[in-house]
Amino acid sequence: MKMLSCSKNRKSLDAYMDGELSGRRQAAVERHLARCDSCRAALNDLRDLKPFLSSLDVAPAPNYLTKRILTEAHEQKRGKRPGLLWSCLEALWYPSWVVKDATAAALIAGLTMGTYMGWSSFPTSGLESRMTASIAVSDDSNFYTFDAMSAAPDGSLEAAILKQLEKNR
Amino acid sequence: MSDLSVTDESLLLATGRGDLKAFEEIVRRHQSWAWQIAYQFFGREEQAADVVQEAFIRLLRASGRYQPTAKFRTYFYRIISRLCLDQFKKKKPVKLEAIADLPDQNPGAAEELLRKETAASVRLALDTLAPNQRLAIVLRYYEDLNYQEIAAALETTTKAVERLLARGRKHLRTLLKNR
Repeated sequence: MKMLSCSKNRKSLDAYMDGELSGRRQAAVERHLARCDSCRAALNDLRDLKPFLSSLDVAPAPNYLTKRILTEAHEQKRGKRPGLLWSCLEALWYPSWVVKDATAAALIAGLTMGTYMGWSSFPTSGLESRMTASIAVSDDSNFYTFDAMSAAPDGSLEAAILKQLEKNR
Repeated sequence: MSDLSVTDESLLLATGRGDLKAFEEIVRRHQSWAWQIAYQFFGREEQAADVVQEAFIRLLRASGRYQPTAKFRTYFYRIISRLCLDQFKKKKPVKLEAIADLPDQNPGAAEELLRKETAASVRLALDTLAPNQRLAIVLRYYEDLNYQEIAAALETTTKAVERLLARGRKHLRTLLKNR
């Protein structure tokens, strides 16, 4: 029966100690350990860690923790707006199709708005300006109506410029 | 709702349907071990409390999508583990203060002091481990999880878990050798 070398045996010691080896492998390690003082010492070193790690005290969970969790849970249920942290976490946790659909909806809304705004300044034909503070500039066939200075209160620079332009027409 | 015949999976499904009483029962059943993992990982109450709270709230928010293909504990271990590792990246590790030698005439005081010093050394040693090694050690020694369960929590393979534990233990033995 082939014996394990020390180097191969050492690689299996952690799994052996944790009871994670297959039956056959475990038997091979045990045969080696029966004949090798050095590997037995290495195994004892591994086992000696346990009492050290057990010395760590765990402070009991603070009294406020349950209340904190349940308060937040009730707020979540009432549909309060989640904080920035939860929004980011939600983005990471939601399935990607939800995020994509929301992005697509935002894109469509933006394009629609942009199209409408562009259309609303489309050249008009034969229309007199009905705006009190607008400039009508015409070429042969079209009026381009610009409501460029609709917010031109009396006494403002914009109102003065408009007045001058009207004079010069 | 403190009926042990109701499984955790049923409680989480009920939570997903809006039943907060079911969620409260989940918190009651699982807060203790969730706290133990987070506290052993961080060694600090504040960070551990933040992670535990966030873990339960994340569970709540995901409950609507929960499918009981995995056991509840496996699912929750994964949430907690992920949060521990994420929080570790965000926050700088905090060093423990040295323990002062207090003269005490009480019998057993020397022993208690030695125990505290050992615990402090172990804490410092754990704090120097890479986060995934530390988490593997915590899940193995304090939750008694096997390699497959640790692998599921850390979303890795059992071979990787074996390596994490081997390296973590080697590092701890080096630091704690002369205790």
